[in-house]
Amino acid sequence: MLQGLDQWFAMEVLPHEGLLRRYLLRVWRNPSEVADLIQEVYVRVYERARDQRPLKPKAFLFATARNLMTDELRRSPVVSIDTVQEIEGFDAMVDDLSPERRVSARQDLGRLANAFDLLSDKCRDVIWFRRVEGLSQRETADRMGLAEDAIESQLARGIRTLARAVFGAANKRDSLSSKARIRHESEQ
Amino acid sequence: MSPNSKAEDIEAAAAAWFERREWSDWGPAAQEALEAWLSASTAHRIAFVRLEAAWERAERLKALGAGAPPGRVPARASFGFGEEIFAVPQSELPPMASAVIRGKGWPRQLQWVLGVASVVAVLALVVWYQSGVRWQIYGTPVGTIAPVALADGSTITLDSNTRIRVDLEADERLVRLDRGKALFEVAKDPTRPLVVEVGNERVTAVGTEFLVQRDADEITVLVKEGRVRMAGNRHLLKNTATELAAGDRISTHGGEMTVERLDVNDLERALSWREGYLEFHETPLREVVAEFNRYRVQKIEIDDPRINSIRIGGRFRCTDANAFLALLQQGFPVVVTRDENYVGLRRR
Repeated sequence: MLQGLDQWFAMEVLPHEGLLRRYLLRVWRNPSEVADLIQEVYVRVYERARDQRPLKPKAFLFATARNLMTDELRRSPVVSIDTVQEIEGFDAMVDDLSPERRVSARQDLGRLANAFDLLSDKCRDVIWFRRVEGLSQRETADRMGLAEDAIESQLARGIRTLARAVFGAANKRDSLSSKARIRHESEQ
Repeated sequence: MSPNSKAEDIEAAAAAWFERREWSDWGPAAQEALEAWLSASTAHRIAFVRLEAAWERAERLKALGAGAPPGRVPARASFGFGEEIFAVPQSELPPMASAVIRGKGWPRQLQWVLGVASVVAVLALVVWYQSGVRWQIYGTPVGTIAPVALADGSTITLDSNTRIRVDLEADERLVRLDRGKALFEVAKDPTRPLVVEVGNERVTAVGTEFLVQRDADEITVLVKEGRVRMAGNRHLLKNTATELAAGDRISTHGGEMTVERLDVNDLERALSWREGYLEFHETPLREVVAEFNRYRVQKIEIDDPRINSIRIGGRFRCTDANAFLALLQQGFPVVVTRDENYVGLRRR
């Protein structure tokens, strides 16, 4: 069980990963840098929260992302004007995107189930026995008729895929491409 | 930039630790090495925490296994989360193989005609003779929660606006839930099971704790402790009985049946009404309002479907919807409109 700061981070920050990733993919010029940006944003948020937990974790997360990008842009020799505008234009949207666009519990489960189905056979079996049936690593190997080291790295691979599904997967309804529609709504 | 980003390398390393920790040869030296790795950088720690949190969340996969035989991994695409919730002919259904099962709808249950106000006092007891059965009728008015102690030692806690009928004289202890929600703490008696009849379903228990709820044509059964059996001649899974274990919740509605397994926290939340509280966690506003309305004569209405799915968390007194409405207005783009006989919610 996670505790303290770790648990706070898991509850308040990680669930926004999908939105954060799509935001960064949209505004950041180089998609291959997004994973590193997210990591750096997480580090900043986590270290800051160690002293004092922000009252609005989500707003704080996105503000941190913006600051980080601004820092990065300052360092880079050429700044595209579009990029700057996009980053600033997002401010007003963060609160508007949530919470009603959060997926339902059932959609969450569906996402998890679909990610689970995407795993390779062996990986899928390992995850099932470990997570659903609660077997140990050794019992899982026994159940599959294999030696313990024959299932090496399956759990590691599976948990990465599931983490992506749990925290980061696309959710059509809060897609950032619906920016125009969201703005329109808020003008009514 | 390397083909793998730094973040991905760290995630891969975290995943390897996450797995290695589960191996049977894990020992103090390895634990020390893990701790050293974790404290080497915040990024390491976060990557690890993220996987641990995902693992906790992935516990929801258990809902997919509810009722499935242990030792076998279900086939791919058997969970019914494709484009649409899948429909299967009843004959092809293994018991509880999937999270959602759609069968054919059943006709509306015949409503019992009980005549005049049997439920006026805080807790009314009426003795009712009906084709030789001696029913004791217990009920609560809107806004009241009350326990009923039965002669066999069982306790039934009735939620707001609930009515049950009890017959303890027969071979089995029989309770009918006419409407509302009740938590049964059943005194153990293997020779005389306690049966709760609700709609077309029969829920059988020997000595256990479970909740049965009936709202119009929606029936919910939730097991807190022990096991119960659910069956009935119009049970969705014809001729099969469904065994429910602690944490299992079944809801049937208009021919659709949903099975899920709740974790300890969800279970506590689902039963918090007993202490006079409603507790929510990422619950859609629509459901939150429905819960408060159980305790209100003047119902709260949602006038704008766009706010239906706002997610609510927190603990509130059942009877104090006003505190909730005040918070709702503060924290969300919602306006509460009231006049003498109307309370409505709108998007701001």
